[in-house]
Amino acid sequence: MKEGLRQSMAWLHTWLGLLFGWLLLAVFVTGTTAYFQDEITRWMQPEIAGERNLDASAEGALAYMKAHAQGAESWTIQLPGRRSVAAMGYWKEKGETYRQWRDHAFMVDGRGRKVDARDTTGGWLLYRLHFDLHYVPVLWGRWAVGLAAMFMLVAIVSGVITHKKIFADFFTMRLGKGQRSWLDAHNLTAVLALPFHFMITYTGLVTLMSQYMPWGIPAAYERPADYYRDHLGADAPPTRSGEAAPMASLSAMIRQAREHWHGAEPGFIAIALPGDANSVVKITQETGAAMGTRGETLSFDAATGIMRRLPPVKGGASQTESVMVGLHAGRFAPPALRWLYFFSGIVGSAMVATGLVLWTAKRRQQLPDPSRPYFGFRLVEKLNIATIAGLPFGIAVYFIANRLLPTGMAARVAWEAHWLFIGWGSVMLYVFLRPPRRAWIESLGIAGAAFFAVPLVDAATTDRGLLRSLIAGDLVFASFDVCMLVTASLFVCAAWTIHRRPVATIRVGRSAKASIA
Amino acid sequence: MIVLCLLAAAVGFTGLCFGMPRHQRDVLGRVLSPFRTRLYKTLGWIALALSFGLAVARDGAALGSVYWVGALTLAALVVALSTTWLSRR
Repeated sequence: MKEGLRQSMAWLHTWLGLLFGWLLLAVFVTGTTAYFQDEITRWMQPEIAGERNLDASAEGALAYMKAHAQGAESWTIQLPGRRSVAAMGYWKEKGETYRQWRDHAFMVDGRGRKVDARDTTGGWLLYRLHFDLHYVPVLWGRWAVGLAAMFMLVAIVSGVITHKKIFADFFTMRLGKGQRSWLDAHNLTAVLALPFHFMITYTGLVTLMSQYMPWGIPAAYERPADYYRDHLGADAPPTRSGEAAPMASLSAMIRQAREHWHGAEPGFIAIALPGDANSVVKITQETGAAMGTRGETLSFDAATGIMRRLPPVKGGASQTESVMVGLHAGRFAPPALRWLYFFSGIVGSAMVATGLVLWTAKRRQQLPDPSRPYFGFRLVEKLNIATIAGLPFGIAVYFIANRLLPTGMAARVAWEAHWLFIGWGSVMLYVFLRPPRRAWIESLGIAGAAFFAVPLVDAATTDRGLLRSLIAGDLVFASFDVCMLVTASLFVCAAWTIHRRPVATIRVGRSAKASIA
Repeated sequence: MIVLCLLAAAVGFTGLCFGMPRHQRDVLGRVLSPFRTRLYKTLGWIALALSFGLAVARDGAALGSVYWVGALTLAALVVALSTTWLSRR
């Protein structure tokens, strides 16, 4: 009976893992980059330099909108977090949807001056890819990712049951033994980061629980709006009085908010009906100020600058959700912990990648004629190569496109994203045209070359290349370029390792699993 | 302090690893006496507990335990890969 359970769990693990593996790999890889979302965005806007100054950039953004956006429905200021330099401001005209905000977005640096930075989605694109995908409606993307995450949870549990000797094999990694080595690598990356894998999958589902499990809301609230008020502090918007009233000092409101939070910084300012007598200023705490990521929102009467009634204290469930989402996104994490998160993400990516390769490694020996595998085997193997090498290649191309696309280009933001998928798609096409062994070597090699090219293109097109940023002590730019070089080396090592192997055994060396960064 | 916590975790896992006859054979080429095996295991657990203590002492229970879990993963992988590397010689 026990053997029966283990076998059925192994079957479940194998086929669920295969079905969702490619999507999960994309989710893991982009999610891992999202831990450095702010830093990636900074690298992708080299025009923005200098020190962060929260108050100066808030005032600068406000002044710009006072001059250019009188009569707008709302003004919004996204203040720079601890890892950013510039604030982003945008406004919404009457009748516009929220999605059009990009049309009126601008950046303000720490001296309060508007900077003409290149138009880019930066690290945000990779962050959104992580749960929204791209080219599909956001809701569909989230259903797909949610489904994959749910089955990832099933795969974690079934994987633990399938694994015969978790403790005996805890430190075991045998090299050069084909399928055995892939199983070891898969077990090692899965077991040693198991707390992270479980936490990240579970809390990932929690981040979108109101979409995946919406029935709790109508069960507890008569009007869904009340849920959003209690949970997110979303009040009903004010109505326009038609009477003009100048706005009181924003800096004073920020100061009040800071005092109220015992020094924690604001992260987001939304001004509804600016210039109207009924205008309301809402200041939300920075998402990284505490482990719970949903910081409190304080409302101010814009004309007087007086704080309105405090939001209701959040209930236990709401606070638990806030901490779970915070734990997932790691916005609170100080630098050392952020690197540990990033490392765990790489281990997670490696776990999915080794699992995918294991599927083929296990079946290769049983092939009747190894030179002519059946269709399903070939398809899985090609999709493995196309994802493991292709997606990172696409990301490198995205970074290169950021430097090479002309700054004044129409639809520049969209084209940066297109280039990511053009890069990924061309590797996929290429892989399907080549025999598998060559496809592995060449696509890993191409990915490595692309990552090497990123710092070179950066040095050639901006004045913030690796050497200069090292001399200037610019940690963000220098670390980004060094990460590119490390990733490049890992891919090249992986390609080289396969190249060195005798032709008869088509296996990937151990460095391949580490190179999914 | 995070470095100390990482070090303690690495020492802890090294102890647990040396507390396993298979890895003793792979790395040392011989099996240690039951007494020393148990000693390594005990020291390993003590070092892991110490790394938790260090993390919590510095950052409190909430942030400290998140640090600790991350440090455990990194330390365990380093120990596992070093064991592989050492036993290849």
